[in-house]
Parts: sequence; C-alpha cells; structure tokens
Amino acid sequence: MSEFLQFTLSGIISGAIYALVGLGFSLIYRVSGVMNLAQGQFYAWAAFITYSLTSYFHLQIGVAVVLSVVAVAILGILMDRLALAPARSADLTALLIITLGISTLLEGLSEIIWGTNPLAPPAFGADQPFRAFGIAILPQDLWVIGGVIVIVLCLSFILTRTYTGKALTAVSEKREAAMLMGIDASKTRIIAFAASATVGGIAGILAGPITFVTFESGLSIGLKGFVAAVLGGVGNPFGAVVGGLLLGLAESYSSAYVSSLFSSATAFVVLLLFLLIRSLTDKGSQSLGSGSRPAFFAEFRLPSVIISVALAFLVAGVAISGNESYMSVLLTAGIFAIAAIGLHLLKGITGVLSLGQGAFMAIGGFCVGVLTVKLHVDPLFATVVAIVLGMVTAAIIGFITLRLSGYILAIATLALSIIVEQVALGWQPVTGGASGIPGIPSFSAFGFVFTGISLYLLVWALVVVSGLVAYNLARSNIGRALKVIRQDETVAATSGIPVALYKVIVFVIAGALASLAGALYAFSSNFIEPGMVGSSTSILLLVMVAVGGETGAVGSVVGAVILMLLPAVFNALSTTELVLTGFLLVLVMLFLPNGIIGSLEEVYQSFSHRKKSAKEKVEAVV
Amino acid sequence: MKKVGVALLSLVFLLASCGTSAASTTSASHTPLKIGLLYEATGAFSYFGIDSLNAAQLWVKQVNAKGGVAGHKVQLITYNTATNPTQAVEGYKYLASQHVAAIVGPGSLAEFEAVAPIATSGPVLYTTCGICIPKGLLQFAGVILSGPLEAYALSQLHKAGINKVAFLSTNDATGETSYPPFAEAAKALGMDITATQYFDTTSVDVTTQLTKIMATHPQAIDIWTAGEPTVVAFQGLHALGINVPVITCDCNLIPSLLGLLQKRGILPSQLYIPITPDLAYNTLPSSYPEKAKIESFDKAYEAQFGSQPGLSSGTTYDALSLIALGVEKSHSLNPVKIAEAMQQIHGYVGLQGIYNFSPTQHRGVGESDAVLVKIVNGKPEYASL
Repeated sequence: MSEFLQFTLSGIISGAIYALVGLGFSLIYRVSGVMNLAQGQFYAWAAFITYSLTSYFHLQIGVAVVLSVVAVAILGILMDRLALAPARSADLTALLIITLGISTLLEGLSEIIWGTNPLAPPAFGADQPFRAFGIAILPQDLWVIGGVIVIVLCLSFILTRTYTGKALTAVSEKREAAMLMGIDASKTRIIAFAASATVGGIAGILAGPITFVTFESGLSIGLKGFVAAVLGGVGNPFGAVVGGLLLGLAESYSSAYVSSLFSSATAFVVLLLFLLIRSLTDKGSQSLGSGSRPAFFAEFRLPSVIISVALAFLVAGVAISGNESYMSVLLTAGIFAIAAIGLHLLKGITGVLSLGQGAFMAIGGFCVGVLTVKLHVDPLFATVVAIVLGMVTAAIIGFITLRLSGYILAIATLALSIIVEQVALGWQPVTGGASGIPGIPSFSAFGFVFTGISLYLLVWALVVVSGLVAYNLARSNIGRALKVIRQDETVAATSGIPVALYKVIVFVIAGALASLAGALYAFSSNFIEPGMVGSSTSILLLVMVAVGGETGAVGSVVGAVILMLLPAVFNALSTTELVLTGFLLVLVMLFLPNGIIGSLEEVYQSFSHRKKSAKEKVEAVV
Repeated sequence: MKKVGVALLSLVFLLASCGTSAASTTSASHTPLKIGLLYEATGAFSYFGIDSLNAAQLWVKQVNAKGGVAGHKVQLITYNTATNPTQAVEGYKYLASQHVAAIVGPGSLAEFEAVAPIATSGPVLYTTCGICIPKGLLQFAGVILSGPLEAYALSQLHKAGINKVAFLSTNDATGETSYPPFAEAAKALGMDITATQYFDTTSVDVTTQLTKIMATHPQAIDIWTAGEPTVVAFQGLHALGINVPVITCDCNLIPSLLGLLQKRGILPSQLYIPITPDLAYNTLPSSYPEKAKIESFDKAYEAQFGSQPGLSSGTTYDALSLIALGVEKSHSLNPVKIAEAMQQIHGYVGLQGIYNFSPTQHRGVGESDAVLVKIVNGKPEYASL
C-alpha cells in the first residue's frame, strides 16, 4: 500500500509541475488563441534568475523570487508586444512557429548566460525529507502542491470576482462584444501574458529546486505543459491542472506497473485514447485553433517558377562542383523536402495540422533498416514494403483522428510521433534501441547501387516527382475539394464532398511520402536511430513547410533547403547559433506569415493588380 | 510590401554575414597539419563539448609555440555538431573537404554511428565517445569504455563486501549501452542484480523507479546516467532517504555541478565514480606515471581558461597528442600512414592512462587505467575500497 502511495505522490508531483506549466498555456490561449511553445522558458528563466540572484547577488530568497517573477512577467509582455501581437491575425501554424522561434532564441540566450550544467534555485526552508502515511515526502514537494492549490484559488477568484478576470473571460469568449462594452482587449491581452509568465515562473521557482534546470529544460517541460493543457481542455485553466495530474499519474503508474522503459509511451497512448474518446463525445473540442489561414495563390506563378529554376541551378551546380560537403547538406534537404511535400498536402492544401510526419519517417527508416540488415531483403523491395507500411499506418491514423482538428489534432499526432520514438527506443531486439541499426546498405535497384552523386540525383528526381504529384493533385477535382475542406469542413460536407474519405486519402499520400523519405534517409546515412526521426523531426518538418510557404509544393522544398542550410551557415557561431536560428524563425514568420514563397506570390499578385488597375484607368481615360 | 522587403533584406544580410563554418586558430605555414574537431557546442552533450574545444585550442597553442608537429604548424578547424547525428555527418564531410589529416570527435554514440560508415576512407577519426566502438584502420577512440569503467567500479564494491546491486538508467543510448557490461561484470563477480529500472530523460521525478528498486533491498545502486537525469535521480535518492553506496557515470564528474549538489544537500553521501586518472585531479597518488603530466596540463588549462579542465578535456588533449605522434612517426600527413603509425604506439603516457594500440585494438586505454574517486564535500578524492 505504501508503495502505491509513493507512486501516487510521484505522479502528483510530476503532474503538479506539468499543471503549472499547462495553466500558463491555457491563460494565454484563452485570450490570444496562441499556443505558446515558449511557455516552458518562463519556467527555466525564473529558476535561472532566482539562482543567480541568490548565488551571485546573495539576495534573500523572498526578494529574489519577487524580482524573478517580475522579470519573467516583463519577458512575457515583451514576447507578446514584439512578436505575437503584431502577428495576431496570422495562421495558427505561423503563431506556433513564432513561439517555437522565441523558445529557441531564449534557449540559446540561457545557454550563453548560464552555461550547460544543471542549476537550481534554493529550496524554500527545510530540505530534509520526512515520512507520513508510510511514504517519504520532501518539504519542497508540498510547496509545489501548495503552489498549484494557491494559484488555482487565486485564479478562480480573479477570473470570477474581479473586473480584470471578467474582462479576460469576456475577451476570450467574444472579443468584439467585449470591446464594444468598453473592455480594452489589448490591455487584457498584456495582463494575460504577464499572468501566464508569472504562473510559469512560479512553477520554475517552486519545482526548480527539485528538478534543476538546464538551458534545454524549457522546451521539454513546455511540451509536457502543452500536453496537460490539451488533455484538460485548451483554454480552461482548471482543466490544465486536471490534465497535468492525469499525465503525471499516467507516467508514474506506467513506470510502476507496465514498464519503466515505455513509461512516456504509455502516458502518450493514454493521452491519444483520451483525445479520441473525447472527440466522439465532445463536438466542440475538435476544432480548437482553426484561426485564419494563409491565402491561396494561383499555382506556379512567376515567383514559384523563378525559385524552382534557381533551386534547379543550385542542385545542379553543387552536383557539377562535386563538393561533398554541400552535396551532403542538399541530399538531406532533398530527403526532408519529400516528407515536407507530404505535409504541404496535409496542412497547406487540406488544412490538417499534423505533427506526425516524423513518425512515418521513422516507420520508413526502421522498416528498411530491419528488412535489409536483419532479413537481408533487397533494398528496392524493402523500400516498397516501407511505403506500403507507412500508407497502411497512415490510413489507420487518418481514420481514427478524423474528428480531430486544429491544436487537438496537432497534439494527437505529436503523441503518435512520441509513441513511435519511444517504441523505437524500447524495442531493442528489433530496432536496435537507442543505438539504432547500423550497417544499412546503400539503396540499390536492378543491380545499380546509388551512392554519392547517383543517390543525390535520385533523391532530387524524387523531389521533382513528389512535387509534380502534389501539384497535379492540388489542381485536380480532389484538390479543389480538399481546399474547400481546408476552408470549412461543414461547407465541404454539405456540398457533397466526402470529407472523411478525402482526408484519409491525403493522410495516406503524406504517409507514403514521409515513409519514402525515412527509407532514403536510412539508406543515405547507412544508419537509423530514433533521434533522427523522432518528434523533433515532426516539428522541424512543420517549420520547413511554414517557412517555405505551405500552399505550394515549391515552398516546402525551399523551406527544407533553408532549414538544412541554416546549421551549416551558422555553425561558426557556436553557442550563438540557437539565438540566431530562433531570431530568424520569428523574423520570417512575423514579416512573411505566408512563408517565403507565399509572400513572394503576394508581392507579385499585388504588383500584377496594380499594373492591371493602372492599365484599366488609362483605358478608361482614353 | 515594405515589411516583406525588410525581412528579405535582413535574411540575406544575416545569411551573408555569418559566413562559413571554419574557425581557424592558427595561420598555416608551408604545409600545415590540418586537424578537424567535431564538438558539441549545443544540444544534449554540450556540457562537455566546450571542454573539448578549450583543450584543443590549448594543445594547438602549446604545440605551435614549440614549432608545430614535425615541422608542420597545426591548423585547427572546428565544427559544432549540436549533438545531432545529421549535423555530425555534415561536419565530417565539411572537415574532409578541407583536407584535414585527422578529426577528433564526435562525442555521442548516435553521432559516431552516423559518421562511422563514411569514415572508412579520408581523415583519421578519433572519437571522444566513451561508448563507441571504432571500426577499421582509420578509426580510433579515447577515454576508457564505459563497460570496463562499470566493471572496475563493481569490482571495487565487491571487494568491499557488496553482493547485491541494482541498476537505474535512462531509456536512451546511455542506459542501453551501459546495462549489458554492468550485467556481465556483475555475473562475473557473482553479484546479484536485484532490480533494473529506466526513466525518460525528460522525467522530473523518479521516486517511482527508486521505490521499486529499494523494494528489492540492494546494497548499492549503479545510476548510470548523464547530466540533468542524474540530478533527478539523486533528488529521488534524497527524497526517499536512500543511503546506500551509489556509483555513477564518469560523465557526471563536473566539479561545479557536484559542488552545487553538495550545497543543496542532495549529493549521495557514498558516491563513487570510476574515471580516467586525469579526473582525479591533484588527489591522484604519486605512484601514477600520469601524475606529472596531469598537473602540468591542469595548470596550463586553468591559466588560460580560469577553470579546471572538464570531462573531455583530457580525452581531446590526448587524442591530439597521439595524432601528432602518428604524424611524427610516419613522417607523413597521409591519414592511412598516420593511422598505421598510431597502431604501433605502445606505452605512451597520456593524461588518461598509458596508451597501448595495436592493429586490433584502437582504444588505447582500458580497465587497468581506471581509478575510483569518492565525492567528498562535492570534490573528487582518489579512493580505494
């Protein structure tokens, strides 16, 4: 019994930490519609600042806490005013990527300021554990649990009993109506960001003495908070608390009673099931975060043609130069471009925000790894099997997530990515675990082995084929139907479009392309391991599509090339690389919310319109 | 429109201003000896990547001040892998395209496994990874493999009368590669493994795993984790009041971190770390032939960087010294000839032990070079159980 209580306490402590981060997510989402992936940075920065103030400036813990909370509240306001408020009308993917850019920037800055070793603010008071009800408890654990309770009570009071709280609720429910009633929505938004950062900061100060923090802690704890917020019902701060506790308990009980190797996977399976079951009963939860979407432009206009020709010259030029270093970068870019084109079909054409493309790359990569290395299957046949397996899995995933969209679908597909990554890590006899599968042969077909320049040309030929498939699909009747689905599923359904069937078809095509990319990645590296195709790959693919421009296949290719070139270009900058990468992401999504190609198309369209209207004016005068 | 223009101009400016990724630290003489460094400035292994860079810069400065290696000035070209296998491959190819004779690094298993298949021709590859197995003529490895380190620590615990041990690690490459040698060594010593538990690297609490471990009544626990997860595990030990001897990975011997853990009262009171001799710092007995060299290195490092050398400082410094020895012995900058000469190195006293290579043994140090330290007041002290 005492063991069970100890497992429960462990789950509650982890859950309380996730809950505090999730609370911050919900507060911001409630007012701004932004899912702030930088939320975890408030946690890390408050812990770091408190550490510095107490260790180097020898301030009293109480003073240090107040100063740290004020500092992160200012950080939250700056984050909103400088990056998010100017992009308030942007698509939810653009907003997500801006917050991811801010998170990367802050992560880089904290590495420069505080280094790479784990640090922690001091514990509040006594630090020796005591026993009660047969279990060991740390005093700081009680501070964390107490913190959650106090914050929930305070928020409850503020949201229901104060003018500010009521204004927050009003703006979150009916922004325009609230503004008509004299509520300053902009001020309310500032308060929400400051409050959210404060809650995140308090979480870091309370839990930091237990968990310690490194410059990388923000994103990982932020993702857990993101899951907690979605699990509890985005926008509902108290739901985030329940979500956090559920996640913490699921992790603890699965470690205790299922397998410690698969604890995270089990927790995410629970999350996925929970979301699916809830989607069947709660109609309202399925469409969170639909927001505005980047405009469509007539396919393949002049800017796309120019960029495509430039890309072709770049690819050919590097091939002719024979520079192995550049060829290697562009080979990887080509492989990722194939998977990104699949995501372009999903996100750009159909409006399905998927963070699961990395999972299909993993399926493709590990499938060819196992088949060629362990079963000595011919690489071409192994690739066909990998693509078929990817398509079947995608059909199943597409079918079971039909009722999900927006952030809910994003988190469900991200959960899928994490589950696949965890299974690849834990299923060592088959996948090789964290060591992966080395010794994968080079790709060969009909006796010809593709290595070096031949593999490079093959990959880029496949990029062109994938791009043409996407282009033709977008222009077909199905493509037009998909664009209607993207704009409004209800309208599409009432127009007689088989929404479910078409969405599954797009999932299958995207799954096939990602599996092909995963297989090529494994063949080109002669190696595959879970980290190469994990959940971070899914996020990277989304960033590629958004940076390049989601509504055209060329944009996905441009995004893949830029994102693969960035590390090489910024390499000499060492630790400042993260800061610049984050800054650039924010900059691109802020000023080019339609992505690079989308923005060029926009400029071209605006120029064409002006020219046309000028011509019309001249004709009218004549 | 204006905003778009500004953004595009900024993008072009940023890309243009950043230049390429080479960081040359010396001016080349007639035929410089070019050596590449694949290090981790960012990412999960960045906590020792900078140690590696510092040591390499110090070595190059010292060697060039003495006229270089066999008359060749040394030119160091660095590449940050960000602890990412794909970037490690890009970095290897970039350094190879710069015609380096040898590359030191990378430091993680995934990076090495990604680079190893293409490192069968081209420069010598000397990895600083403690769990990687070099393959073929051109690949070498520094630092004692984690398996022999664990075996050495277990043998010391066994000597002290401990026969029941438990294992706790992360569900990543660290846990996966450290369990088999742990199990093998325990079996060879006739010790019982009472429990084996894993946790995710992003976990914030592992008291569940430790509760399960303590239910099996081990006399000692092997917590073979690296970085932040180690702190989470130690916090769990502290929370549950567990006071059995703990052995942990050499990669946790970070003086500033251990000092902070000591200050916060969560450092296990009986914490032992099996390490290479350089990390025992000035507590190493005079009987060790490496002692004088270590003292001189520590002094020079502290003078230049204002801190003690870190985890992979000694590995990198030794790697560069051994490559230089290969160049001197072979009188050549040809990687194959350097590698062939390095295979013949015997009895070289480095910072991390006495190196003995052969055509079948490309990791020059092993269990016989390991020492055990006990962490006392947050500082390592040479220990013999």
